[in-house]
Amino acid sequence: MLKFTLKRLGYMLVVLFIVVTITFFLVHSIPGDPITAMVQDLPEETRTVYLARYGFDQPLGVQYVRFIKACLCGNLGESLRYPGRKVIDIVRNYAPVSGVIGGLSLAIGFTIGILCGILAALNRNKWPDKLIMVIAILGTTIPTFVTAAVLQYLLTVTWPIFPTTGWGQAKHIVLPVLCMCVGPVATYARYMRSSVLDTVNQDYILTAEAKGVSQFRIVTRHIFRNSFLPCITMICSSIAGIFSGSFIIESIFAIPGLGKYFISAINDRDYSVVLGLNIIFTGIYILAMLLCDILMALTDPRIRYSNDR
Amino acid sequence: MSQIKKNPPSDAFAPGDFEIVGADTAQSERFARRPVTYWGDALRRFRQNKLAVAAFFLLLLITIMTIAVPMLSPYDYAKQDLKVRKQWPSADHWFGTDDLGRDLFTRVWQGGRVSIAIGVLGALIVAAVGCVYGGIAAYFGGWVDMLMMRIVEILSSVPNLLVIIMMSIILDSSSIPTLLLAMTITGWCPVARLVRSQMLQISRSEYVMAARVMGVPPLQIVLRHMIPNTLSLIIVNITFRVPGFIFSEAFLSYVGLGVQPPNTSWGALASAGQANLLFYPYMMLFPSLFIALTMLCFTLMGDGLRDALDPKLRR
Amino acid sequence: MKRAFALLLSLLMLCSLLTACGGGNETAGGDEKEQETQGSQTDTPDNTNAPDEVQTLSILYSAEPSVLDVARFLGIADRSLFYNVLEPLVRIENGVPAAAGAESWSFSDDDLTLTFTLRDNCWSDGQPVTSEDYATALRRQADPKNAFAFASDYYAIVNFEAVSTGEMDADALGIETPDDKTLVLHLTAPTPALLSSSEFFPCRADVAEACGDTFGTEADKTPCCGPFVLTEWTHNSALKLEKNEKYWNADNILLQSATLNIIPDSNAQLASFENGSLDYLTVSDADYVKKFQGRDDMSEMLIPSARTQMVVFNCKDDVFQNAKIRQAFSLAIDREMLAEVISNGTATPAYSLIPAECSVGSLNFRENADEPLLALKAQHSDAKALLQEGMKELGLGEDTSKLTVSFAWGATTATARTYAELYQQMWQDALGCVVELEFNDSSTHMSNVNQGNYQMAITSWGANIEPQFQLSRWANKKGGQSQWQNADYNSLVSRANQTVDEKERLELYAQAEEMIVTDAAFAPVYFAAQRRFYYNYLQGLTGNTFDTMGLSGLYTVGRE
Repeated sequence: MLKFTLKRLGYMLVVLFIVVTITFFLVHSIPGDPITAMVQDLPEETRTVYLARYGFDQPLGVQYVRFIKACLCGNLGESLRYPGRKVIDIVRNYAPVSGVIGGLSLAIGFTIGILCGILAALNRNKWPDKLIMVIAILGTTIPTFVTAAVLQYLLTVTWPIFPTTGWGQAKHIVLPVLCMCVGPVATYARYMRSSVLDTVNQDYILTAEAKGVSQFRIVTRHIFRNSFLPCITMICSSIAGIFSGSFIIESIFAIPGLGKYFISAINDRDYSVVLGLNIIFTGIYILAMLLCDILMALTDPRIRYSNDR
Repeated sequence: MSQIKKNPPSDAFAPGDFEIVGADTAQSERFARRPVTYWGDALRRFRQNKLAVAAFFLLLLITIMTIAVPMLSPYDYAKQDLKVRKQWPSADHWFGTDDLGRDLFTRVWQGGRVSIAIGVLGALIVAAVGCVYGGIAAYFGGWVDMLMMRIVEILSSVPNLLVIIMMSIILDSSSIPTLLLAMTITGWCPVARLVRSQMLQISRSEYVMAARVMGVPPLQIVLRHMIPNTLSLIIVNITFRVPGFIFSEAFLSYVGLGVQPPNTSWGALASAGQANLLFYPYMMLFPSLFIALTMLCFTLMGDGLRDALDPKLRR
Repeated sequence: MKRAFALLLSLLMLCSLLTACGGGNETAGGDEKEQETQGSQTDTPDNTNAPDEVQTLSILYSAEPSVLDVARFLGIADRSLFYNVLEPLVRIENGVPAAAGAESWSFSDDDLTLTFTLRDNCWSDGQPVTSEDYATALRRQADPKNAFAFASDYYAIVNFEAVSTGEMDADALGIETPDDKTLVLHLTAPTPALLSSSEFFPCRADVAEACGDTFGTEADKTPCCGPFVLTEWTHNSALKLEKNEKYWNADNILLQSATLNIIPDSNAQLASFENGSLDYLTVSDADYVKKFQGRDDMSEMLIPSARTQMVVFNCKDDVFQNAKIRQAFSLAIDREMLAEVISNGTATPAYSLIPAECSVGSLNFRENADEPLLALKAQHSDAKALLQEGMKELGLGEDTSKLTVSFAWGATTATARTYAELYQQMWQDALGCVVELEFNDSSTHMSNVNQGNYQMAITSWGANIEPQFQLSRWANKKGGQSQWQNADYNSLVSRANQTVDEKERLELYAQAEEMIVTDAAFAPVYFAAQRRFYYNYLQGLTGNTFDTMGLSGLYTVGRE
């Protein structure tokens, strides 16, 4: 197990390096530069001074080597759009914001989704199943910007229950989380339902029923456990997405999260922030995948067996 | 087969009552009805799923409408008429008009063309590339497989959104093909993985092993076993992926990177309507309704297809 | 939400912030309130409109400030915050330079030396503001290490340009501080418009040095000496200002605190205003305007934003090198229709470059100079014929339907698309040519336009009080964004910039404007304006476009 993990970790670094290289050249191939993006009336000599200040007048290869060197020293650089802010501080400050909203909505969405999925599967083709599935499908088919805009107007203007926008207090969290957990609820409900249906048809369930095991016990001990396993893969990739935040939700509710920061960084040509965030996001993604593999290996003896072999 | 006469009346049989008609050994193995092929069976099971059939016909209807309406409508989807700006649905304009007085009914169907085309083409491209890539990896195995799968792993580690946004900026996303390229450039990775693992699984399965033992040539195995068994998976995958593409396009439109005017899409219409949500909800309602409806149909149809094509669920 | 639309809105908002207060000037709607405001501020307030006990505001802020360092900031969002937390030497009040950080100032007889005498003012930590602080700011702005984006605003100071490009040492800068209360600037040439176009902010050398790169990135790293102190800064979300008790004019400032909310989504902005989370807001949507006009607890005012929306032509382009073609495209613009449809009736059609709010010294520019495009329009009634003439000159034949030109936009939102299509159809109908639209995000657009990689492009330019700011832009070596090079024009503008006599200067500027607008280096479309709604309890709002008074004049009366 340890060897497996270490091997994967080493391999992860290689992947990270290649991804960083690809994005470095991608980002620098976008037309425009940070200062032209910001200042409309920029005299040529000021632009020259600016480009020299940040080393953009150098050939791309030289910039790349310098960037990689800095990365190896753990220095992700400084924002160009917001001079003086270190990329690492930006992550430290805003990742928790996206994390709180994303994490809460994932946790809530996951729990409700799983429960709904089980409920639907156990009542297959009866009204609870149909109701849940219609809601679940609708939940995945309405664009977030539609849901968020409607909910925002209804719950902050028509019935002023929540603050419209802002960040800092518990009341600011409710609406964004509400909008964001619609997706996970729907996805997990559908996924869990089909997973449970697969499990219900297995022979060991039949055996348990024949042995006279109580229905409750069958559901909790056999069905839930076994159908839950495939969901682990999904939750791992969802967890990886938590910190990258949601651009739409963060814009509509004016939340200072990483999602908004990332998209505006691309628009502002804030190279160092785009690259830095990309390293972080990719790192988290790969880590989550590793975590997922380990979890799967721990929970499912069959996989462990095939790995050892 | 021999025929037996009904019980005769009281007196016993005489040998002359019997007649030798022979036995047709050639026909004895023949089934009473035509053998059910895999696809025929699938079709039958799909037909039994009323919801899926309804979804299929609704989709067909939507597709026909997207083709027919922009051609037959008296209004041009791009023609502005400032005299009739922001009109509610009426007999003249069934879905109302937008902020520049363009007929929304025509625009919604024109947008549907683009959205559905992007959805279907995107899914097809992803499926085709993924199949070929995954197939090659699985077929050659060894270091080829290893290398190809590592490449997939690296590509899918780059955040998807970043790739789409950067590609659309770099490619200057003014046309549908560039948009499709941006959306599919890493989108085929999961399909490639899926196809590869399915192929590997099949090639290790008992019946393929049996076929090999019996001396069936590799090409025959690929044609008879590998492809049909993977195809069902891919078809289901395509139907589930179409909504994903329609949705991504809607997101890109929201961010401002979707299809460019005068062309439009459901996503572009919905995000334009979002600004007028409070006063002209119909501007957002119709395109979002059709996004939802189309995605719903694809999902239901996908569910139906999966049940019909997946032999595991055959009961 | 739609980024560019939000950007547009925020730009508008921004201008409103810049002009948030002050007294006097007549603007529609704001006028009546104004009288009342001034009355209550100076006289003993009576019971009916006594200012509230708790004076706090919540307003929209255009964008996250880049960095609150006068030598490194990149956006207008930062500048309008400086007016609130720093004390510039001179502020614009009611459209004219007024004493702020400086008690008085004087030009030498040859107009080449400007001497400021400073007021007694303190930083919020109690240290006095000295002339050295203002000199520090200028030195840091000239330092190439800071790569200051607006360095060219200060090129009037001796050797500033050479220092900022690294050709000279910082010591060579034409600044002197004979004592703590006196600052002397040496100018390269007479610059009568200097005080109305350049700001001189102070900067704390000790804090800047201690913080290094992080100076001005957080509330506690931003020293303040203006009417307000920045107490909290939640990046990308909100900024909190509190009254600076140590400010020299603290007694006359009623507002105790203000929250500046950064809300990118326009629907969210409107919803926040509607439920009272914002105290005022610039509204452009026709239906919201109607809705808010129906509210008893709200009032509206129209604020000219002194911003010219225009189409720039690339004069180095194969087609648009021809002046007749440019003129044809300029004349084919239906300015009345665009102003009406796009701005919902707030904008004014523009037949010239300089907005009506601009003046030369004490003379209003527009009142003394005719709009040049009107004369051109009278001369050529048929734009299409003009286009055909131009095409013949270039050997392109007479058939305009064979001409395809592209029109670039710097936004990709639905709104931008809608408006672009309006232009497209207008030109195609009027000229019979094919207009292709090109949409890029604003960064790509700007870089294309600045590199001359376009045919026609949409831009808008804000004005300063003096036309110098608008006209000098096209007088550089490159010829501005249009790459329109004209030696006569350049010498005319530079002569005007150094002419002290108001009347003469105005005459020269008018000639320059006529020259460039008639030759159609660009086509002005309309002068933007904004409609601002505010709750009735809010007092002290003014519509003075150029004022730089920050929030200091605002207060509330009778808020629940």
